[in-house]
Amino acid sequence: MRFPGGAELPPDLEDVHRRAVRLERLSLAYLLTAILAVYFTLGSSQAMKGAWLEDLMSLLPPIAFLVAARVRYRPPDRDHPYGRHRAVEIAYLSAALALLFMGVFLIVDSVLKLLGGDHPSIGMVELFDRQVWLGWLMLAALTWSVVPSLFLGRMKIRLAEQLHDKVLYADAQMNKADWMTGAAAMAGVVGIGLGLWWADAVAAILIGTDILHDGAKHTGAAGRDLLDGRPRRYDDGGEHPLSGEIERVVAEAAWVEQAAVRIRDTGHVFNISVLAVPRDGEDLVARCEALAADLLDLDWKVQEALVAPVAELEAAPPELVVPRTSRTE
Amino acid sequence: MFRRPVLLVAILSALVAAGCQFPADVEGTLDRVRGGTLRVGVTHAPPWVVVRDDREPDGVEVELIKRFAAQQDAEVEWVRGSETELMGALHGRQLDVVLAGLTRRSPWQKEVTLTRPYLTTQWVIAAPDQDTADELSDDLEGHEVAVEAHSDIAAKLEEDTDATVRPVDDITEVDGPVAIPDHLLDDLHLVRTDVELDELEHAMAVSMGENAFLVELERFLLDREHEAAELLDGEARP
Repeated sequence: MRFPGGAELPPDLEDVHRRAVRLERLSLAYLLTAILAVYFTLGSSQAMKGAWLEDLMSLLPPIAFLVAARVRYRPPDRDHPYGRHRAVEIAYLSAALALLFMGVFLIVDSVLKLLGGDHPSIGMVELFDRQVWLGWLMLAALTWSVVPSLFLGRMKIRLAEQLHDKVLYADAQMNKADWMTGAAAMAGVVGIGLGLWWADAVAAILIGTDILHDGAKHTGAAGRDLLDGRPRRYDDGGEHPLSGEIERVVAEAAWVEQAAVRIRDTGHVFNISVLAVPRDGEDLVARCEALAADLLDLDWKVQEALVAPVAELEAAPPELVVPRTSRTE
Repeated sequence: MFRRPVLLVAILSALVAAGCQFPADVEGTLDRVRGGTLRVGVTHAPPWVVVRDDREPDGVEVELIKRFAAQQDAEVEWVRGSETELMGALHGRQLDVVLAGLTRRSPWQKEVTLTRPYLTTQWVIAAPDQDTADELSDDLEGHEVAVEAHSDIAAKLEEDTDATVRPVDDITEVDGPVAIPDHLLDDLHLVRTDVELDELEHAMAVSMGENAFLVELERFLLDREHEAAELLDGEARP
């Protein structure tokens, strides 16, 4: 049996992953320009501060993804016998927390603004010797912080589906949060222009609620992953389909009377441990190795499969025990 | 995706074309002021605002706001008070403008809105002749520089430079190096050194959210930096 190493992606996905890395680098570069653009048009207005902080916050997921992408495939060594796959989990938790804090900040800030009855002011600026209402510049800067985010988010979601990558997915959600706050800030600026001082705070609260919801969902999912919970889909939309298949393969092994199957999602690859009660003691080493090999062949995500023959399954929670389904020979 | 912004711009253009104010006031200040009364809070801050008991206020800012009122066909109602009183009144929209020799660094930013600076002045160290000016530009260490006693600029001179501070009562009657605002250089026949002590961006304060009024006043002020400078020169002359 091969010692579980730093699992590589299959060649076709390797390509997708490279595209994702490129996309995230592009995201970072773009975000920096958007942050600058919004910063220089902030003026004395509170209305755009939310959008700006949000842009700052959205630097976190791409950075997390890129850092994780660098370390995740390093082969195991003395200090890291299981490799560094969990780097992905750390990245995912960071991205999720960024989203969560963003939502909380936006809601608290806007509620305070609304309660304080702040009437935001936007005046004139001189640009190349011409007088311009700062509001127009704000709208231009916000457009730059909205439109590319929209496309980046969509591209990332597509790659996240193919790679089954949670960090990428959370980052795509961040881009969604990004363009939505940008749009809210635009509505706010236009509202201020129309003399509706509350428009921007109300829009920001609605959008903050949406972001908070996404953030809470992903923070919860990241927490469950770190607690070695049953693997779930990248978008937290239910159980991971691979779990069922793994259990089916174990159940179909003719020599296994019953087995306790545990699957851990260590970020982007799975770790499987099977405690199997054999029907007889014949040729156990070969049988165990064969079953482990079958599990590893299931999907590239199965990075480690450990099959151990045991005499009995004492105190195993019944819902983890897989009974034999193969016909008796 | 693109439809909505386009629609938005279309609506806004239509509004502007239809003659609606954009940006508009929350409380309609500009409409009330036009052909009506402009309520101006003033507090003594020469040469920007000069308030005397028996007369109408005077000074650079007062003159500018009178011209603005004339342009808007408005009467001016002067309200005297301390800066704190006036800012409270302005925040509560009992006044339209406060003139108090404010700068953009004003700590009132959260309560009221400051206009763009209508004039920028500098405090510099000046010398009687070019040679002394060059010498001071190189190194202030050991040189005595006169400065108005008990002033914020005296504090700056002491904290930010190596010069020896020499407090005086009247900076216009000093022989030797002195810290003065740059608009006095010509009148006093002084030469400026490279040492700038402070830069002041002079501004007026208006109520928050009254954006049509703010924009109208800023449009007026941004065009009149020269007038403001001339007024300041006029004030400086005895």
